[in-house]
Amino acid sequence: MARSQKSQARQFALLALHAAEGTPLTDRALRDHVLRGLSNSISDLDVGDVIRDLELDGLIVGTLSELRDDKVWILSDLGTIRAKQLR
Amino acid sequence: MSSKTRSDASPLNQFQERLDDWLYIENASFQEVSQRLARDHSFMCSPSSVWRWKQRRDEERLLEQITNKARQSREVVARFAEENPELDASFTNLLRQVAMDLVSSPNPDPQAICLVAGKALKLRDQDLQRQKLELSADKFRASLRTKLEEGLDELAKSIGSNPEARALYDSFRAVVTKATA
Repeated sequence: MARSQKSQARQFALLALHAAEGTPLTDRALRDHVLRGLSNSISDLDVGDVIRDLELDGLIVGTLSELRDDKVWILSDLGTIRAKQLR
Repeated sequence: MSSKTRSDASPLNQFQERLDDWLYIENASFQEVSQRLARDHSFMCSPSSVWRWKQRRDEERLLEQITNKARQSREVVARFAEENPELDASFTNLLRQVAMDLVSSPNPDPQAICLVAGKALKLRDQDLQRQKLELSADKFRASLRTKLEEGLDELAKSIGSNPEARALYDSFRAVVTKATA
C-alpha cells in the first residue's frame, strides 16, 4: 500500500468516527466508509491494517460487540483531537 | 458538528450549491461544468479542477451522511427506550449498534435484525422466568403462613391461662407474623 494511501485511509477513518459523533461504528461499517471515502482505491485488507495501526497508536478504541464476533470502534480522546485538527 | 473554512479551501466552494446540483443531480460532466461556470459566472477553471473539487466534496458528503445517520439512529433508539422504560441498558446499546449499522453502513447486515430479535426473546424469557419465580415465592410464603398460624392457634389453646407462657407465646406470634408478612 502506498504511503499516501495509508495516510489518507487513516485520516478518513478518523474523520468517519468523528462524524458519527460518539456513536460507535462496527468494524464492517468503518471499513466500508473508508473504502468508499477512498473510492475503493485501497483493499479491505489494507484498511484492516490501518484500523489496527490506529488502535495501536491510541487514536481509536475497540470493544467487542455484544451482537456478534466483531469489534465496534470509537475515537479515543487523542483521536478526537487529531480528527478535529483534520477538519 | 461545527464546520469551518479549511485553509486549503477551493475558490470553487463559492459555487457549492450550484455545483452540487450540476454534479450530483444532473450528473453533468466535468467539461460541461467547467463551461457552465465560464458562461454563467465568468469563472474560468479546468475540468480537472472540477474533478478535484468533486473528490473533496464526495468526502464531505459522505461524512455529512454519517453524521445525519448517526443522529437519526440515536433519535430512533432514544425514543424507543423512552417508550419502553423496562428495557435494560445492554439491550438499548445493542439496538443502538444495530440501528447505526443498518442506517449508516454502505453494506448493512440484515442478519443483525434476527440477532436483536433473538436477544429480545431471550430477555422476555428471562423476565417471564423471574415473574414465575416471584409468584412461586409468594405462594410458598402464603402456605407457610397458613400452616404456622394453624400451629400457633393449637399452641394457644394448650397454653390456657398460664401468664408466663402466654407472654412468650405473644412475642413469638409477633415474630412469626412479621417474618411471614
